[in-house]
Amino acid sequence: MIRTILTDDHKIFMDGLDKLLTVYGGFEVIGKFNDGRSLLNKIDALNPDLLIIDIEMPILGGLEVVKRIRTRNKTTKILVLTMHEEWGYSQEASTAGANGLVNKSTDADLIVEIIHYICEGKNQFPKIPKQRDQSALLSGRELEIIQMLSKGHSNESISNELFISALTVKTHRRNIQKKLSADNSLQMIRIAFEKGLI
Amino acid sequence: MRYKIKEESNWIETPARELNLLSIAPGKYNLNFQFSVDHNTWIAATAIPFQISPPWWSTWYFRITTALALALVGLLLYRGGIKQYRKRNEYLGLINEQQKKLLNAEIEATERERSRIAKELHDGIGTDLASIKFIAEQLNKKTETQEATTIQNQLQRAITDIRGIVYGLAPPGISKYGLSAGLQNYIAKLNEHGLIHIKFDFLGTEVTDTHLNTTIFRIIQELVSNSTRHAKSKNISIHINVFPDYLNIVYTDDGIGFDPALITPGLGLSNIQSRVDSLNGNLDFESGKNGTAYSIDIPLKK
Repeated sequence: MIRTILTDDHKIFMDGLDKLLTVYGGFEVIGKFNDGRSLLNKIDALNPDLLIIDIEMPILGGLEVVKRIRTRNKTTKILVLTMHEEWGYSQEASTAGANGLVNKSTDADLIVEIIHYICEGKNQFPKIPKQRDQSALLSGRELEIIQMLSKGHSNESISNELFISALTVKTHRRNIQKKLSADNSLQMIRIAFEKGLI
Repeated sequence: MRYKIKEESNWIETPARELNLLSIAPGKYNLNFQFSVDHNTWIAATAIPFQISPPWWSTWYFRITTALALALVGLLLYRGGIKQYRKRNEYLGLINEQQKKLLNAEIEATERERSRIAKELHDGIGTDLASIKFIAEQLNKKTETQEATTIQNQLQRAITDIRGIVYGLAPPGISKYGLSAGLQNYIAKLNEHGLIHIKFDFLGTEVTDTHLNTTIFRIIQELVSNSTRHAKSKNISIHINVFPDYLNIVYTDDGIGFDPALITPGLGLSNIQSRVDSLNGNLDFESGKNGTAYSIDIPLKK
């Protein structure tokens, strides 16, 4: 039996989850709390195998609670169950010391699967998309434009070939020039060349 | 007797013994007399030099004084005018500032209310539905009836709908994680449907000003709505460059475009314009055979 504590300020949800775990079997719910503070007061005494906790709660939010638990308890597996879908929460939960995060609207089968996975000692977070490279100097479109400019294309011909409006070409040119710290088009192309962009 | 008052003039003959010289222009003169009894031989008398002073209004010192006085008055009027002009501009500027403040306050109030509704939908009803779905799933497992499956599926649809509403109401993560992260979330959600494809480029450092981010998010939301609803676009590109002092958004779609002269209020362009104004930004757009393009510059606080 996996000795489990549930913490969520949403009673209906916690009851549903309780029933769900009972139906699936293998879990013993030894405590239910409505806020982080009361959980923190009791968790050491109860010493559960598994904690399933919500993020948005009054008094003390779930992520802060996880952080505090982890300062003294490294063994209890912690699954964050939240309505939030933003990738940032996944990262935060992981940093706080949780073993996994799953969305509340996920199918029950999958939630239980993830719980077992975590209890085996593995971590499970939603796939965080590859961080986009924001440090690149020029975007793909900007590169296309500077390359065409270097081949002597006019704004009009770039506009026609790339199916973009004159305003778009003009704005991209201005942005490229600013990013390359060039005073004029000629200098812009020369710097782009020196930087190996064309 | 004949006389002349200037050497170069012709002699003027007169039978009179008295001379009345009227309306002579100011200047120096020399009065010459000659007398004759037979109009043939003339005997000259001693010339009398005299001077007619110019009237006071045409003296040089009067003219200069007047010119100076006029210049002074002009200068005073001019400076007064400029002052007044400046005051007027200051006043207009104040009104503008005041309007911007009002606009910003209005935007902030709307955003607060939207976040509140979103939070309640998300944390309240969303969680309720998720819990009911748990129960439906258990019911489905036990009974395996068509009805139980239908309940489960419809609950799932309701949850997805609510999530969509929440995403529209409160920019997810935009205040917590920044403009790029928030927009990425939002765009990923829109791309999921497959009805439209949005390409997103973001170059430069993350922007973390909540008010700015929320306003920019609303602008982009409105633009996307224009592209999909009115212009029937399939592809959109959102291209953001963050410079130290401002950021630029190039937004383009491949829709049918619109005639800028025939902008209807429903197009939401005035909404976009006023949001750009509230950030002291600048909006340019062009609509034609290559869809519609917008270029928006927003100054950044240093």
